[in-house]
Amino acid sequence: MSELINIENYESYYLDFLEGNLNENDTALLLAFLEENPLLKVEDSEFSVFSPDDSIQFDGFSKSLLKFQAFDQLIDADNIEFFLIASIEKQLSDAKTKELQQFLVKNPAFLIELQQYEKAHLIADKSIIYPDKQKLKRGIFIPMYARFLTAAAGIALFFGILNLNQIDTPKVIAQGKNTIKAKVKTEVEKEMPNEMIAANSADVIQNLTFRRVEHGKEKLIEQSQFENIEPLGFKSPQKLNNQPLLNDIAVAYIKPFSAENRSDDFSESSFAALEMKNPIQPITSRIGEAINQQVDFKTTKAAHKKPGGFLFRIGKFEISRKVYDNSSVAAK
Amino acid sequence: MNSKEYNIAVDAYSDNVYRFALKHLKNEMSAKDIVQDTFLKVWLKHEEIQAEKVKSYLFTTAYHCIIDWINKEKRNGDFEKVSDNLSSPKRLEFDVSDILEEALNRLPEIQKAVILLRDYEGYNYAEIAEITKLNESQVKVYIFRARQALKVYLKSRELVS
Repeated sequence: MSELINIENYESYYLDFLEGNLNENDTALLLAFLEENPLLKVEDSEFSVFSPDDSIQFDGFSKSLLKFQAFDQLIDADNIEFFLIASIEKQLSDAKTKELQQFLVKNPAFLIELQQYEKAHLIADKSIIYPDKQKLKRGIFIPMYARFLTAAAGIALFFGILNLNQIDTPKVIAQGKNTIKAKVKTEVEKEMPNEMIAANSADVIQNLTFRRVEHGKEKLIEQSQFENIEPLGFKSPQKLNNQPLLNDIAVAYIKPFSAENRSDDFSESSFAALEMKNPIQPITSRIGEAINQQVDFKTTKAAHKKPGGFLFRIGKFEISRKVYDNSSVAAK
Repeated sequence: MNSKEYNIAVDAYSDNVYRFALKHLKNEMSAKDIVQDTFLKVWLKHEEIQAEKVKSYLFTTAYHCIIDWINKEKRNGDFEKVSDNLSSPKRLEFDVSDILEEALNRLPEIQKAVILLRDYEGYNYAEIAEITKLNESQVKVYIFRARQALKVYLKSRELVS
């Protein structure tokens, strides 16, 4: 600076002096000026110079975390914590692991630190479980037994369609109606044992009661309603119990109705004479066990003079269908 | 992800998400709410989520639900009280798991999250980064700091006892 120090510029000199940046010549001039103007002197307590606190240090561990390729540095007492954690975290290469082991052999005090880190590993408490899992789930839940039922019903439908394709339904239906009474009479007379033929066959027919199943419900049918029934297939009074008839919407059968031979088990009586097989026996058995109900599914193919069809039953509910071979219908 | 895969995820991961939430919140009811919210959010997007990534998605969602919950509770002034209460030592006898539990409760939320994901679920740094929306370096730093804090606390408690 080396200019005349006065009241206008003395502060600039003074600041440089306090910071130790004023040269000797200017320092002498400033001190002379302050001697002449003592009121302008600043006490030491009024002027604070901040100096760094050397005791505050960024530790080796933190520095290591900041470093690029920190694992490449040599292991020492400053960064040992970093490498101990890296070891726990399995971040060290084989070479670095070996170096750490050698360091720990030379500095066994750090082995305790390593053990502490090994302890400080959180382990999940598996006894803590979420209690309402089912409430979180979505979609329609189908119980296992219902799935089996669905499968069985599907198979039943498949076989039903398969069998339906083998008949000419309109022809079968055409057989009934006006010829029913005559057919019953003829068939009964033809097939009845001699002792029964002695009786008036018309009386026999008169005493026959017809039952029909629609949608799983059995109901009595008056003879006046014969027009709706296909009177096919029965051959004798004994077989009447077992010979079902078919119309286009439901299975029907004719049997003599009396207190002795009346059976509540319609399906058994209606299909007992047929050689039906259950193609899915293991499945139906398993479903039956699962739902504690009788489950059955039987099929048979229509052959000459023998009806075919299927029967699907769960407990008291049953679906059945009977079909006839085209050739046998045609023969009649 | 279809509904069947979603339901499998419920069975497989709801416990994990629940533990994760419970360790953060220290409140069973709130943890259950977090689990419900998490799975609801995942269900709403289940068609966009691949089944093999559902776990990561669940934890990501849970983590953000937890953060939202904590922020909300902090605004209400409730969370501090709960945390302080839980983090204060209640027993003097030495038990590592209890001490670690205390130490865990003293960690900042982000450190707690990464260390839980690391130790409980075994996620690697990249996976944790994806869940917490941090980068891998940040995850590593948080995990290292959390480990150091846990160790320091464990050591101090051992010295006391």
